[in-house]
Amino acid sequence: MHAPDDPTLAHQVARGDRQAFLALYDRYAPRVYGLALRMLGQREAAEEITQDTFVKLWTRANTFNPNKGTLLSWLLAIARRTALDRIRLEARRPQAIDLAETEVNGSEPMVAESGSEEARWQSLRFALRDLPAEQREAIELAFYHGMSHSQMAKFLGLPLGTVKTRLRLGMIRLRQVWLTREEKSDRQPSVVTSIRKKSRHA
Amino acid sequence: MRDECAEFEPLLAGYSLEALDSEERARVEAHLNSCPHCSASLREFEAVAEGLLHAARRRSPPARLRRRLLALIESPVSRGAVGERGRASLRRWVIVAGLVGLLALNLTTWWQVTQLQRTQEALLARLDNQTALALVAYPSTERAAVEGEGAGGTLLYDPERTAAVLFAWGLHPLADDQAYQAWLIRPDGERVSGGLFRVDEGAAFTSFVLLSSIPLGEYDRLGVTIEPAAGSPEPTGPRVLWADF
Repeated sequence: MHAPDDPTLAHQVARGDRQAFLALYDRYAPRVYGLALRMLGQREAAEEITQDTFVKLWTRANTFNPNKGTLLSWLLAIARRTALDRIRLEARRPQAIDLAETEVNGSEPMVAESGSEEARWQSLRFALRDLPAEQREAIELAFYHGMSHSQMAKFLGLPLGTVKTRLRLGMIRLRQVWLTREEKSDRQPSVVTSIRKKSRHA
Repeated sequence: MRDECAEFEPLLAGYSLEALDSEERARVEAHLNSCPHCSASLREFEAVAEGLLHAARRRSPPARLRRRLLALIESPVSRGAVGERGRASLRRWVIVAGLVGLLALNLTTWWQVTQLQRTQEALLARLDNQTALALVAYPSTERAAVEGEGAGGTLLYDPERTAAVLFAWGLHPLADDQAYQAWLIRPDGERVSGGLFRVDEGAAFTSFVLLSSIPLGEYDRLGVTIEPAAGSPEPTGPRVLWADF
């Protein structure tokens, strides 16, 4: 028997189905917790972000639109936004960039039900790992710690232009990898884009 | 592609990661509104940004998080304000009904309550035994050696759970105005009561279920002291048992 797909489960959650909620939790909590842990570097804080993310799933599942992206991307975008709010609220300093945290473990199993998407993310993880350290650092400080160019320049003690160049070159390299992969499959619109646009106008 | 794109295109990667300062961001957004070329380029960077969401490794959250979430979504206030209003109205009726019920209370029901309390105590004793058996059966249950002067025992606990079982031998029965009190000790030294227990005359060993409001993994030591029968807010009597988790 096939497990219900994500949009079906999300629809059931919106109607108050606890079993559907737990099914999605079991399916995606390690991804959400992994991202939160990567961003905050502390288990307790990562737990709280994961909890907040899934509470939002419970209370706002009706706002998930499967035409705008996958449920996992939707959850991860919520988790990142929640974690960034916390980082800014508590003025947390970034944890030391730990490559082992970022690197994908070569033996990490692929998720069978999302093979092609997972393979693309996997290739992006490898590309991120293979970037020159200073480019990866700039991308991680921006994406995982919410730093602006000028905050990064101050944090790293580097000229603003240097930081901008590092981030841009790193992103161009990742884009090349992404586009190469993208030629093999059609893409859905970006969840990150839609969530960010909402937050800018909030 | 227009001439002015040369100024904005280098900023699109930073824009996609929200790394621009507010003034710069406003200028980029004004340009994007009228430039399909840069908008298309931005979408590619934003697709990469979405991919970065997936770049962190999977990590298994602690089991307590699932339980906590389940409790949260089962709480009456977990859904929106409309549902809450409905439940508030229902609660008012429940309170009124409860007051009517209390008015109807008489000596007969008081006697029944007394009987029920006795039954409950017996059931709790059985529940303690079941908890002990369940802990023995859990694959993740850990064991800590309990030491004391002429006494000892074993503590069975699961760091993710809030109940543990203490099996102790060599403890003497106490006077009626005294009791053994278990203390769970945090890494910072704070003592939290784990409950009171007594030792029966002639018993070879005593089993006692400790209850905590938080997972036992948050503590790193156990202590047992002799306290007044009603218990103490913090240890005051001699320590008779101790263990490191």
